[in-house]
Amino acid sequence: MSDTLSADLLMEILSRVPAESLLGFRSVCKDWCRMIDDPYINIHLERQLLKTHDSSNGAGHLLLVNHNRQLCSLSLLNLLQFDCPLKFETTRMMNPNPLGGPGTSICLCNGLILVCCSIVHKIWSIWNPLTKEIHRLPPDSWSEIWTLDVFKGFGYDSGADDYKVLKHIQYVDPVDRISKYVITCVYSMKSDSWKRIEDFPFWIMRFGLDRSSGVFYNGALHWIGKRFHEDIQTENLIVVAFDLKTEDSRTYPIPSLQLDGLKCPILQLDELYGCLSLSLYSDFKRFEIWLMNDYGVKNSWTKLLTIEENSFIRGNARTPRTINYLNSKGLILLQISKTLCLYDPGNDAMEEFGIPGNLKLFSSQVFRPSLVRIKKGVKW
Amino acid sequence: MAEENTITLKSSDGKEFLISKKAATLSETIKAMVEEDNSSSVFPLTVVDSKTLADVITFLNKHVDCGDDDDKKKSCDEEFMAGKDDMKDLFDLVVAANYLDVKDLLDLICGKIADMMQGKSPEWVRKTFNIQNDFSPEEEAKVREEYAWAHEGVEED
Repeated sequence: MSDTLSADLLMEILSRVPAESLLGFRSVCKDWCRMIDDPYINIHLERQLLKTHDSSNGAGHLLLVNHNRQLCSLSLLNLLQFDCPLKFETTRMMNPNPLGGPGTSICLCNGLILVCCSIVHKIWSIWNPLTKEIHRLPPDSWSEIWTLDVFKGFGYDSGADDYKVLKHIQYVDPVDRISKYVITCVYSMKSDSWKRIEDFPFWIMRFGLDRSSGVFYNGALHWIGKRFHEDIQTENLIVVAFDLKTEDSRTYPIPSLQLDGLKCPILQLDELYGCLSLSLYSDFKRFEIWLMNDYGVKNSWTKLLTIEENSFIRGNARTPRTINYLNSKGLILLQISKTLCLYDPGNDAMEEFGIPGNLKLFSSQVFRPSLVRIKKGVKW
Repeated sequence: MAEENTITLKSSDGKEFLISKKAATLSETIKAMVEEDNSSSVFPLTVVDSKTLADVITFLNKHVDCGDDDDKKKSCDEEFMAGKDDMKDLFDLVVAANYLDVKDLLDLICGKIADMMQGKSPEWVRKTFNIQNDFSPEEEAKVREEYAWAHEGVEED
């Protein structure tokens, strides 16, 4: 039968097969092994990434860790078919797990994870849980003493076909203890080295513990921040973007938020429904999600929804996190404290899924396994 | 008038199918044929058999009715794919979609085949795709060993 399938046609089919299955098909025959191992990977990746924008098919996984600190994954498909009891199936990605959870910024990009393997020794690694390749980043030479905060971001530079880590260190002057300054540096996986770049003229804002990693979207990393010399006021907040290809920064305005006297707004960026999204949580009672419909277009922010006076949201000390928009059902998947919730905007209903006690959410980003190889890597 | 708006497609086994020009030219290949020779009304498709061609024509007619309505297309596609789970038929369809250059149909069938392959064993793939295993037992064991976890929990057959 396959004599009728040309190599191109076979590629069309295989590029739609998830990475986990594809890895098992290397032993079908020598041709397939070659095809899966090499030039084909990027075509596969592109196609699989397209699919993430359409999450209606339940593509992708949530990552959780168990009490043995092993990584487990939960297919989003399980959440879509939520009539049946929720099953937390651990997959074949089980590994001795690097550190996760609050305080460590975990960044996901193209099936690779930037993880902290030792907080004390500040060891960071790029890891593909599917192929089990891991590469430890060399240490960088910038001191973290007198650091107020360190922000990391991880993403893909399609121009150079390279994975990059951005590190933005915000310092307070050791002498006067008031003046602040920043250092920005970039790690390239291809050159396996760090370099300092022109310092980012921005002060990145941290809202809450576990939100210091940049959001990779459209070739750039994004944070909420302000211009270096401006005061910390909601009016001065902007989206700060760092383009991994050009290594330049740019800014976008945030949506015009009607705060109606609400104080302490907590802002977060995410990628949702194929757009850059911003969520606002204020005074522990109102939660809004905004989408930047046309990336980079100033006035394209539109409000997707407001949840107010909802018993799940109200009074919760931990900011809800937007995980995914399951658009085939018009439902939003949220993380509220240790719980996963599906929110139905149509009737303002929230359905809760308790995560079993021995599991913790590892990242609130959706993970899609890939065959991206870390060539320098060693297998775990 | 009606005749000017329809053409006849002839399958490899000689059966003729009447189809509107509008539906037929959703196929880039047929569109090129019609543009090249607009005096003919019968177009032989030597590599598509009648069973497959009937399916392709059903698809083209459905899609032409949907126009640009993506939601409608989606539900049409679901209807079209219902019960299509014979691999041989799917292979015939994918080859026809590729030859006739109908992108939507190609996407649909490739996606279906890929879905069916998900979580299957290499043995299942070899049997289904009629592929000869050219690894020696030692080589195969080595390749499997490299990513042993990829073989855990796959369905046999």
